[in-house]
Amino acid sequence: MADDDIRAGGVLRRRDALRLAGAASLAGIPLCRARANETDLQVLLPNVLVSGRLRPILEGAVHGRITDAPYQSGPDAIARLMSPGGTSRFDLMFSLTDFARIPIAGPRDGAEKVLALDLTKIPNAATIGEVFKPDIVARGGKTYMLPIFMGYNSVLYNYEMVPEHDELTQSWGAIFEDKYAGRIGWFESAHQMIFAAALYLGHVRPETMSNAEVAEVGRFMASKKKNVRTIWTSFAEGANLLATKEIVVTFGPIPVRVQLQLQGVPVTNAWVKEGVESLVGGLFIPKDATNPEQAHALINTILGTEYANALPEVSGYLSANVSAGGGLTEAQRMQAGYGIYTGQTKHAPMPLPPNLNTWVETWAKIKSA
Amino acid sequence: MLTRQARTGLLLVAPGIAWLVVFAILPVGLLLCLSFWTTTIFGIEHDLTLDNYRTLMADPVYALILLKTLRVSVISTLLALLTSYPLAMVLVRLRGRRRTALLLLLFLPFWSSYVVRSYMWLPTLGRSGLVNQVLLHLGITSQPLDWLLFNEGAVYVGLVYVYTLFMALPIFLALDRIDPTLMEAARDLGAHPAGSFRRVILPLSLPGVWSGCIMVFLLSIGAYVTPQLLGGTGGVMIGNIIATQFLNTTDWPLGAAQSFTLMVLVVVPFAVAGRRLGLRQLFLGGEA
Amino acid sequence: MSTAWARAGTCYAALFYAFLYLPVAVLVVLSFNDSPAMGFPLLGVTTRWYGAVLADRELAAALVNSLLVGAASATVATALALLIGLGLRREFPLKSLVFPVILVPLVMPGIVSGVLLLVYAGLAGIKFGLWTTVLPAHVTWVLPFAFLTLQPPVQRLDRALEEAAMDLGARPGQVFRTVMLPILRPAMLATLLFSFTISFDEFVRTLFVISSDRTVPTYLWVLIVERTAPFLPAVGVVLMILSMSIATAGFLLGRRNSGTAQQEWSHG
Repeated sequence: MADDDIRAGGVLRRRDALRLAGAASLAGIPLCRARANETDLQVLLPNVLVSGRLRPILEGAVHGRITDAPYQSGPDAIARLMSPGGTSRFDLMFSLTDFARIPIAGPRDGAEKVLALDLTKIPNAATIGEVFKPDIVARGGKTYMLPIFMGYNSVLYNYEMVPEHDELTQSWGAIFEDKYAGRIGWFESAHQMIFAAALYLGHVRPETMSNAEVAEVGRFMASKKKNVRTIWTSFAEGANLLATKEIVVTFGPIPVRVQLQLQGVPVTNAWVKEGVESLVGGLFIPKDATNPEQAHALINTILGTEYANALPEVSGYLSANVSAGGGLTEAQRMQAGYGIYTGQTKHAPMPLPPNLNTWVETWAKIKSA
Repeated sequence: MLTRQARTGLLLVAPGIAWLVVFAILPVGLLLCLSFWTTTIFGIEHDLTLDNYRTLMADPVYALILLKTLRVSVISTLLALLTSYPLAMVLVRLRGRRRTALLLLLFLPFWSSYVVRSYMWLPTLGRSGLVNQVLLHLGITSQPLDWLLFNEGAVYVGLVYVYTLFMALPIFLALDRIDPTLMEAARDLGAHPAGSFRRVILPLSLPGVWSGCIMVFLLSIGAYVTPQLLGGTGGVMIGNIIATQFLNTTDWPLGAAQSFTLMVLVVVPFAVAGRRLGLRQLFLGGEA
Repeated sequence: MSTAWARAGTCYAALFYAFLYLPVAVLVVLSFNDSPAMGFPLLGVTTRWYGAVLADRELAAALVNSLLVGAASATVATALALLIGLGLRREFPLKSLVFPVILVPLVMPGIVSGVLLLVYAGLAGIKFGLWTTVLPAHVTWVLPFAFLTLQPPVQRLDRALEEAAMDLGARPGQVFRTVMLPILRPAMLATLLFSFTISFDEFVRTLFVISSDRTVPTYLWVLIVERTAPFLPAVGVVLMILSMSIATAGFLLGRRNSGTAQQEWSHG
């Protein structure tokens, strides 16, 4: 027994030493990246906004490195801003305008959590289109948050297995009714899923639903839960489910469709007749940011033409700069969702419901039914 | 006055306890405070209130999910125990290269990274997954089986898989310490293999068994990624509820109340049961 | 040991490892799949996923970070767990509080730990960083596991050996080094390895307190949450090959030096 334990001891001791040695030698890699005199911008925003071709556009504009922390959700970004030390942790932060609007401006002047934006440093703000104007967060002549894109959620489906011109396909009902039972996917979001069901059931402005109405929608969804294969959380999971045909129709944010199509999977989105859910995302600069100059430059570049044209190709998000997509044909523009700008495509904005906690609780009830 | 023994004892546990006080106990205090606060749209208000707890008690959905979580955790722990114990027994009888190799092979899947591992179940158990394809190919089934994935059974498969190492390792270490001469003595005295297992091996391996069970049980209680991924629409456990509260809303105080309730409900039975099951003796020792 | 039992045991072990490696086999097969879907059917063989993985410098950096943080947290946690374990062999006031305190990080849900640490760091003015916030998060998470794994072996140390050594004139430090440590070595190494594995996998807490330096799980998590990551299987295979290579290399070195190690050994 002694022999074997020695060997076991020898093995395991050596491996830890080797591990450290290997690690130390590889440590050269990260150290090479940061060059001297380069600013390092700390940002909190969806990773897709700085992925692929988009990153060089941005890093070139600010002559620095952009480090993005893991972005979880609109509410989470706000919660982080509000937490102790939250106003100095990042140079630039992203959130959904509907969630951020009131908290960032604070209850009164002087209690803001963010810097008033110097619009002279953001000339591209002039390109923000009419459809985005309500999402500019301002008070008393000072602007606190600028919208940068609109994303939308709709029904995503495999067009080889689900007919495009079917009435059910072009309706939110596709993810609730029995037709595709056992092959439906839902998305893990209380707000967005219940909103979609409410639209389907005829509520034109679901954010105004009373607690009783929310409960009623919840009961409907619970009754349809038996048709659902699974509720997915991450894009990769949803994409995987669609690509392997585990599900054929699902609730989905537009980036999932874009990425699947880029990879040649036969998936597209429906333009549901009750209206796709539209969400506007915007940027703000926390009050105690370290590099506000660079942050301004970053916002400006994001609203610039080059970035605005590239954004939908990578993510499906539609830039607030309405000159974007200028080089596309009419059909291509409709495909990309630019019909929302002109009102040709029906969309339902998603303001924050005052009783959000009821929505969250109802979702919990639906899931545990 | 402290005896020398007591002083040494305190000195030895001091570094670890100090670390835990700073990084675990104080945060719990913070959690408790947080649970008594509320959020407004402008942030957290520091006035004390029991509203969050009232919300929790008002709706039975929280209690239901909690009970379900407890049930799933207990079953997962038992399944992990039943599958890992025999494996530990087999490993302990091996020597030299084979033992090291099989031990390392036990660790190896866990070095592929959790994120990667959790995604492999869909291609394994899904409609077009490996298992279904093999069954179809062999002619055992004519249609892909739907029930391999996205139900409670799949959650157990996933949890047991992920927690196997946590159960097998402490049991293995405990069995390893058992003096083989004890087994010989039992045999010489005429004991049947099953009897000597029950009377000699099992009791001596109990500390390892308890370690493993505690780890797996507590991990299962808080688990939410695996159940969500594999459980389909029925995969919601309390960890999921708490995660949603923190990630998708700004109402952290309510989340804090949920978490604190969970912690109390889990720890209290431990404290009570622990005393009766002799856990204190096993872990706090004291006697020579 | 009767051969019937032995054969049953081998059979069981084979089945168990088959179960353990089924997803791994799927992983390997899919890593060569020329398909955008991370799943079957197999559309063709390709090595482009491996190309993407090996060219990914951020992943390499994340790997280095994970290895360093893992080694560090395993060492610190095991050391602390050992000290606590040794201390618990003695009687002292408030001793019964130790066990519940150790379990706290294990009982707290991951997200909550992450959020609390975030608030904590904010209150104390600590900047996020690999060694300022990520390491403490990992050590705190790993410590209960290290304790629960190490404690039973520590408890079972025979006091008679300790006392005999002291009767022969050894000082407590010597007793520890020459009597207890050798006996505990297998358990300690197992605990170190186990702790490292846990730290390597941990990402929920880390997500809240990480800044620019990623660890492998947080890097992968960010990728899959917002994008598809078809090279995920290839990542898993590469990580496993890397770990296995280090382990095998270590094993071979260990065999060559086993002669010297034998002399250090006292009692099994």
